[in-house]
Amino acid sequence: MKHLKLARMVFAVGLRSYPRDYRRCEQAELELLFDDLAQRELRERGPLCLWLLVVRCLGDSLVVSRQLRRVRALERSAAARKSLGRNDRSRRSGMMDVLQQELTSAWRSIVRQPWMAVTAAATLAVGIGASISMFSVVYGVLLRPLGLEEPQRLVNIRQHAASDPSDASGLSVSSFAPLADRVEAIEAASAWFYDSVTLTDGDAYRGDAKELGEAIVVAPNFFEVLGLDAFTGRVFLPDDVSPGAGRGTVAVLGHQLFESTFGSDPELVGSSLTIDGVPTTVVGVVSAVPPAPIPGTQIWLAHGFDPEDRALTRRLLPIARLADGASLEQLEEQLDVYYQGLASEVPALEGWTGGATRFRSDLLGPVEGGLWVAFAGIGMLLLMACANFANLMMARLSTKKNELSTRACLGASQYRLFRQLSIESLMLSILGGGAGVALAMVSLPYLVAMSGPMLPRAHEVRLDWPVLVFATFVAVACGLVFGNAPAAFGIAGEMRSSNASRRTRNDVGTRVRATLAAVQIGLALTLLAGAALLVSSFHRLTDSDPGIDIERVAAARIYPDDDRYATLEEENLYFEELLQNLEAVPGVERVAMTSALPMDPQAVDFDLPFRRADRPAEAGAEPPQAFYRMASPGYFETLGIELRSGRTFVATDLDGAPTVIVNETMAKQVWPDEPSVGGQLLVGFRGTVQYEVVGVVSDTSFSALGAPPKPEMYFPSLRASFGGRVVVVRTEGDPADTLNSIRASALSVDPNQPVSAVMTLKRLTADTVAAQGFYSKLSGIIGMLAIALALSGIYALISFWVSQSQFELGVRMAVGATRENIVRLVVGKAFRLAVAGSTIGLGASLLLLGNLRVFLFDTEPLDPATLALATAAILILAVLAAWIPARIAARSSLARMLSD
Amino acid sequence: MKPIELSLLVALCGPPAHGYSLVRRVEEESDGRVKLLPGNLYAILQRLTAAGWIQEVDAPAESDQRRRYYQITELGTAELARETAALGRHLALAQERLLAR
Repeated sequence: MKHLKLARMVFAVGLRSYPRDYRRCEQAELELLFDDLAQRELRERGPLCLWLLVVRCLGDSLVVSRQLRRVRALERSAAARKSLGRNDRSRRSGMMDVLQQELTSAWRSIVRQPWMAVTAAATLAVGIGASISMFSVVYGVLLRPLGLEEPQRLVNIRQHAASDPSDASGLSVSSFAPLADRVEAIEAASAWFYDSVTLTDGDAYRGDAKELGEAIVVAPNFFEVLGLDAFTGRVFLPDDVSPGAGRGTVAVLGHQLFESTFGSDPELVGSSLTIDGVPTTVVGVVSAVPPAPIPGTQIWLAHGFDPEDRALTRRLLPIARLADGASLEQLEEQLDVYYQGLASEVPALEGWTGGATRFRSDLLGPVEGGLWVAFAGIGMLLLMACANFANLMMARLSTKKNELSTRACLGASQYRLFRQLSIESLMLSILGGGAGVALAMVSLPYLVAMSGPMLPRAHEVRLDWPVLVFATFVAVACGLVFGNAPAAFGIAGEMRSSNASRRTRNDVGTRVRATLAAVQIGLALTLLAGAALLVSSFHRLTDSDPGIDIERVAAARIYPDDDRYATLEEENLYFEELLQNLEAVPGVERVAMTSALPMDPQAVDFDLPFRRADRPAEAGAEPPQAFYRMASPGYFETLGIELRSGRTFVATDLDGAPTVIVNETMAKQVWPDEPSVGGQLLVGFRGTVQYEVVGVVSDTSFSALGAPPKPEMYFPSLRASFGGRVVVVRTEGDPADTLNSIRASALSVDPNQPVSAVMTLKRLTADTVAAQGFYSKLSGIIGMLAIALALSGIYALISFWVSQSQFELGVRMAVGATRENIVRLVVGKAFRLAVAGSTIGLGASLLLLGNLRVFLFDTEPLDPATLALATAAILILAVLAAWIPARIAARSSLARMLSD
Repeated sequence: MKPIELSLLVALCGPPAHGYSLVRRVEEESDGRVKLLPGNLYAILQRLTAAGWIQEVDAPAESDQRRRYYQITELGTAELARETAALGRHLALAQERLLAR
């Protein structure tokens, strides 16, 4: 159906060539008839024939409209002669006539060699289509304005131990609350955190309960700090919720949710929805494109942060607007001072400080480099398509030699001939551009879907004006530069050529075409090698051992409600009951609990200082740090983390002497030459409690699949509550099947305790490498297209050479060359070309592939094996592409070859 | 009269027809040799209408009312008869001379 719709649009554009009054009378009829013909063509002969019909109909429209205009002009001039006795044709209509004549003649010339035209336009369509798709992504994600007031002044603030700036965490309410008042470089500060909410019903919603996914819970001044106004209704006001009051009863929705779930119902604003069982008033809808830190977030809830709320410990993510003229460095200096002041009030914050990063670079930085590199790759693909186009145009020019010489003899000026050829190549490039836009329309949704969760602002990726302007620019530039270069190069020679100079000219033309093909091969080799590197790196990454068994494990993240579970004991009781309930779920093999899963981007993660109890503390030295993890008995078994020595936790560890299990990295660091089991550790800033190491377990990937492990300490229970916990479940079958039962089971323990997220570990780990997956797939597609373009380039070049060298080949056969000799001659030509191209490609690879280093895992960017394989593949494919025209040449009859 | 105009007049000798059915009729009656495209078809129909050889008629009941239907006029029928007679004479002459060779 897409084809039909698109074909109709193209046909309608073609109808513009008719005089306006004629169009007014006949347009509806013409469109109806075209519709019938197009449907029949698509039904009976497929989309390719449909597009051929479109091309024929466009030609038909041009020819008929020209006839109509000519008849009218004659009628007009006859009438004018009659009334005035003279011909009063304006200069303007004369120029229009010439232009139209040129257009028609260019169109006829194109239609005379339809396959050449289709190949040229299709080649450009591939290049332009791919660039438009990628440009849409680059524009939508990186270049489109964020829609915020002075976004360059927005910064994210996190806190980290002064000794380890790389490990940033959120803030607790007590560290956030005084921020804006005490730090001068901050004009205003707000904060937010993620939560998952469920919509049950309300005035405007009577559907089934609906999981709204991640909601962003914000301080009421959030939108004010961002400088984002409501699209309908209003954003939050300071009075909506008072400080310390907990979650308020007002919500702001995103435009997408407003459209999809509520059908853009204007009555929604001011009406009430039941969110997580609480009646909540929708006060407004924010503009179509609010940049959300999590892609796809569509609901914002106001919250008055309560300093006593343990569920918010280190969970608030502040965003601030820099004061006018303040720099990031000034802010960081002031944050140091701010944390020193805080430490005197909250001893736990000693040794901590704050760090600030720009909002835009946090949102887009992680994908910026990758997207530009991908865009550069696509740019190389476009260059290849242009080289192919230029080659085809040159070949076409050679076949028009006679026509051009004849026209030149008849008095056509060089300029006139050049203009004619330019119009032809422009027409082809615009056709190619149009087809490219159609290709992009079809491929863009797949491209966005392929990017998975890695792309921020994915919903802002679309084909709109800036993208179409880019497309037009690319198409016209391709037509003018790559289509005209051969024309400019060819005409002068063709017009003045005697036979001798024509021969030289032809040789030069062949050389230029060969050079273009070699450059194409070179580019293809570079792109192919890059693709091979990224694909093999991604495979190594996904095959890498995360240190846990991700196949049959599901997890549920729960932030216990502070009002309902005020003490640690109550919280523990809830989780104990939950674990018992989950054990009874059919298909569940074992269950356990942790404070933070490996590779979980939302883990409540922090490291603590420690020292060996048998060594004295070194005065003045920074104590070493290791990451804190709670792991209930059975956790290591559930996750498949291997025990290296000692034992794992058992029930008696919960109330016996303090015990700890460390990972291998930590064991090697702390006890390099002696057994770690039995060792004693003092943990924490004051380090009063002594823990006995009872076991050493294998390392796990830390922040993402393939990320190096860090020193970790596991404790059997929490000494204080600090927010969320993750329940892990090992299942007998596919864990995805049990996700609903896990959620239901949790809700059966306490229907009012929300479950923040339920996921399989496989999904969790896959999401951590979504970006690498996207780049590997994208580069794979670019590599394939590059090969296809390079091969079609070689094929076209060799076919053309064969067709132009019939006489030479015939003479060779007449004086005794066998068919094998001819095949060898032709294939040898292609092989030499491929060798030259590969040399260019290897050079380019050496220069460019180093840029891929940051995207590669366990793979060298200049891996000799990959380069050798890519080169071999290109050489073999080049020979194969030349094989077909070579066979055809060898099989032609001698008489025909000599007569040509 | 151009061959394509003759084909269209022949096609319009039957019941009233709209654009698409004319394209199909002409295609069938010429064994697929003549394929009309929208622009060309309507330009010829306009010419034939201006000459008074065909006319627009109301769409038959229970047919697509959006479409324009055409039928041959008496003038058109006379013109077709004249053209066909002339062609017939040519045809007979041609056959006679071919046989004589």
